[in-house]
Amino acid sequence: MEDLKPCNVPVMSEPIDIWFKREILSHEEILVRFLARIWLRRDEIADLRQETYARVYEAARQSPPRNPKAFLFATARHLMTDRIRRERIVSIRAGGDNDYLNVLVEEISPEQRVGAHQELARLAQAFDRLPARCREVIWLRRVKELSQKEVAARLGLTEKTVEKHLASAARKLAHYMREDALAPGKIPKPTDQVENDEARREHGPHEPD
Amino acid sequence: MSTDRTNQIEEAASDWLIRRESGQWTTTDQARFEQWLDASTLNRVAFLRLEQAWEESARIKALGAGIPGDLPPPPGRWNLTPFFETRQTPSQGRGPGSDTITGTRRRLAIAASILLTAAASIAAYQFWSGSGDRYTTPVGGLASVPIRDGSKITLNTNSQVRVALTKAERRVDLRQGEVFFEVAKDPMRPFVVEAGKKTRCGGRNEVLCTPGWGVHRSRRD
Repeated sequence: MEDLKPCNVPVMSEPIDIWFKREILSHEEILVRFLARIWLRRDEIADLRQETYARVYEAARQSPPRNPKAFLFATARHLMTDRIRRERIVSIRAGGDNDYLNVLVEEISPEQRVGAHQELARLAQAFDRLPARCREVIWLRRVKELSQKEVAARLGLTEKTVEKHLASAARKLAHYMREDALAPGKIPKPTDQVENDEARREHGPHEPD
Repeated sequence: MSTDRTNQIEEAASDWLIRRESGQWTTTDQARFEQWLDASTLNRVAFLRLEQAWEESARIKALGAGIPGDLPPPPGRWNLTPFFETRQTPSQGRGPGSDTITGTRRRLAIAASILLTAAASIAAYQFWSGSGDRYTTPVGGLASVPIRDGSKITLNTNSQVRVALTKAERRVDLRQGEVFFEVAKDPMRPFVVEAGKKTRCGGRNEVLCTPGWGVHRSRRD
């Protein structure tokens, strides 16, 4: 039996797309949380996220970083710094206190390996949030494994419409399955702690916890 | 970069993703798709992101395995499926502190569960020539198999596994499909799952081992 080694050693022969999904995209929830804690304008978070991904992908195409997660967050941090300089607008919290860019990634990282049941539960919840028609289409296509044509016939839709439902579902699921990050009341304890510390620093020691 | 642009890219990425599996994908489509990917890294990462989520959400099939008829369960009614059922039984009557499940059944000190989607990269030859017990389900099938060590393996539709128990380890080769494990704790014998990559799961509580997503230890063979 061969040795088992930790998997964050880059495997050079591995296709970069697979590496990227496993080592980078798997951190999306934390990345979004990280961006949202620093960047005030919520409607730009998706832009920042995608641009961070693009930068990481391009860099990794040259040579995969040894510590992908640290590299991902460093890239996000640099990107935000660049934007602040370029735009000369205060887009970040805490009154331009650059310490805020040094939010410890580990502090906002929940345990990465959540249970399989939790993953399934999250998927079920994400699925439940789709519009009814969308759910029917997905169900027939992916659970009952009908062809697109058969789904269209069964539901009395055109194939084009079935495709539209599926495409919309793909976008929504990608969002919902990782959306916990921005949901109020779902931010884990360590984050709250940092938030409180920050509030104290801003408003003085008399501020209640 | 504007938010509109991000949205446009995402829409285009989702169109490609769905069209690719529509069953009507031509070589012209493939060429245009590759052209689109190459046009900008933003396109590429947007596509990879959606593709990953889409692959991950394929596990909806596992959720739907026990549900009769052609309609999804109403929102919030997933407890009808076998996967949530196994979770709910212990958690209803017990506090979080009591892990031990005793009874006439096997004793599962900690029921570690693993959901694993197969990478179809193990050669058929290896699979069928190796030692151990083989279990398969047909398309539409669902089977729960108790293993001698006290673990339980649930095979979703169209799945194939081989299980080999030795003194040193408990090894499962997943050839195809999707399998859900409840692993009986045995510190002396790691529970090793192989699905293109090898993954050790012994002693871990609820490890998600889908290749490409959250594999915590692996090595390319």
